[in-house]
Amino acid sequence: MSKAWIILKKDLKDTLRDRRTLLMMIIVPLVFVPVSIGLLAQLKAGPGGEMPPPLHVGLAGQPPASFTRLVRAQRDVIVLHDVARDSARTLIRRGEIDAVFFFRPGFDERRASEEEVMLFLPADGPALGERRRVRTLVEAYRADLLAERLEHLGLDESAHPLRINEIDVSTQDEVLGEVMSGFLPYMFLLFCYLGAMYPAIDLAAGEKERATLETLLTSPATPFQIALGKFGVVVVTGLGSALIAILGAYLGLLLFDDVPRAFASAIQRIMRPRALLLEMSFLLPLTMLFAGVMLTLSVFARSFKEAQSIISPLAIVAILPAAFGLFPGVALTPMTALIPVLNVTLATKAVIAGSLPLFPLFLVYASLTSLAWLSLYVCAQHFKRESVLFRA
Amino acid sequence: MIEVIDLHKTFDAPRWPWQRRDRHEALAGVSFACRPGRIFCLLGPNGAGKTTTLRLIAALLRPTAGTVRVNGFDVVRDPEAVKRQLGFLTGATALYDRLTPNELVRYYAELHDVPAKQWRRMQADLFELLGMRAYANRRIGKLSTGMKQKVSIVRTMIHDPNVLVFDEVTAGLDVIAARSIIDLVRRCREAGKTVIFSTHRMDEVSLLADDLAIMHQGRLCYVGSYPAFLAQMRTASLEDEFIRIVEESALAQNGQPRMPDFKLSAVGVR
Repeated sequence: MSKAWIILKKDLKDTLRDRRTLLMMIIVPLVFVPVSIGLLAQLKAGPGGEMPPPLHVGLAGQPPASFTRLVRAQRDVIVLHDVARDSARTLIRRGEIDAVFFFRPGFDERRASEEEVMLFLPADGPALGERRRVRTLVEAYRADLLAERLEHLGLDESAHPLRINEIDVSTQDEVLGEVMSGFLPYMFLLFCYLGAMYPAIDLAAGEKERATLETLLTSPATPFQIALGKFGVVVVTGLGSALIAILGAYLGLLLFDDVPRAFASAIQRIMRPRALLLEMSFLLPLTMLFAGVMLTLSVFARSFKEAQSIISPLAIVAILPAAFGLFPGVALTPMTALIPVLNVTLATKAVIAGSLPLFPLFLVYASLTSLAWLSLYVCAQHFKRESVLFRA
Repeated sequence: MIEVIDLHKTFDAPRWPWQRRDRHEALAGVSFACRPGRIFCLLGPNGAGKTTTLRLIAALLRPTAGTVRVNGFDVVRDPEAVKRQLGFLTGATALYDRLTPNELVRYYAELHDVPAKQWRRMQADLFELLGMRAYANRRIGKLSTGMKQKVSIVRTMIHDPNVLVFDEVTAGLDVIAARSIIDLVRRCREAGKTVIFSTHRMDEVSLLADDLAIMHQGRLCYVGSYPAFLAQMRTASLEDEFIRIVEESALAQNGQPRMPDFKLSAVGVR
């Protein structure tokens, strides 16, 4: 039996008996992922259910009757009359009002002329939906005023050279589902890293600290076989953790009803055998790359603590490229296919979307596989260096 | 048989790129030989170079210069063959707390390519001898220090090596546990195995030594048979004699005159 295989079997057994590894590899993805999905489903429903919250609009100055009528006619709009112009900013900042319309005195009489309306709108804050609703209101009134002014000038509707009719065909569910689907590959990568991290620290720096590595080196197993065995365990735990995160996503789907349809369909698509195999085929070389880098750093460290202090913050650097995959317009191209981590995110998105371009896919495999073998080589070289193994 | 000829070892400790490199000469021309059926005691204060010497014998380190042969196999040219011949036991039990003694022994037997029938028989004999049967399936992390050291002994002996390297194996053990190890070392001698035993305890030397080497700051201050050492002693006790030799060696290495009446005799080195 190959010595690397003997080492892998024993280290895997040892690792799977460790509570911290079990927590990080199995419990966290199995709990964190469904809970995240549940929270996102809540986000979709909003605090008041499916209905958007009412829009609070303040009227300042002397608003024309036509505008007051228009505002009152809107559903879910609460109108506050006689708002003082000076207090408009404060009220908006406090969140008591979403927007304030200010009309100069005598606006109604001069509305067919060049008169303008002053509108106070919060320039920041999360109330993007509210801003859009206020603008819709303004556009409606603008259209009424424009029609009036054209009539006043003796022009008709033909004065409009171009009419843009923008129709957003996506529903709120679809938009949210699309955004959430982008998080799926990010989540898989995160658990891939986290699942591999603790075993990598324990099997190299931990063993070095406990002197079990020295004992192992007195056996006829070569440093390469030892490195290979440990590398195998780190890959198995990293990949296992990612797989459990995928199962966790499916579990979240079963547990929560309000999951946006697009997101639910993304999870179902990734759970199909072909997509799952493809996903694992991306994650395997990436986990190998993580394993090689982590084991190299871990064996170089003097102690478990030192290894932890190096490898834990590295997660941010390792996972950061995945975040770029969440940006709109970033797609799998021959260029992005060469960037590790980002390429897995984009390839996963392509698998979910069901459109995998062949050449970039080949580049994804080529870059990841070559980096994975390079990391294994560097790792094995470190296991051969006595100055690293007996570094105190 | 262990042959150590003009052994040198310098450590060039790796640092992070922004740190200064650190060179340290751990061994400077060490020569001795350990013969089968005899116990060779390696005595020296902390930092003398005992562990480095033993790690070089076990092919864990590569010599900077010089030669080490174990049963004729060179540690540089054929480290795997050396490791097959050798059992290495240290004071740090160095065991896997989440495995059981049974699992651990099997692991090392497989690494040494010992046939299943053979290691099972060996394991049963050793467990019986060391009174470990009741603990065979308990997690090692839950065993006492003495019991852990016994597990280490079984791990070391499972491939029936004919060369045994013991590095301060009784450190931290109570008298009874330490004595069981001393008995085991004696049994190895009776079985005709080559034994090298490093310690800084004089009582262990008097109990075990056939040959003796005293080390200080990477050099040998004395190599010879233990009876010859006793015959040349200038102080009343072994401990006093050890301190006298180490102090004179320190003076000699600092440019003072070397001790006149001890000869460095390479035991069995060609």
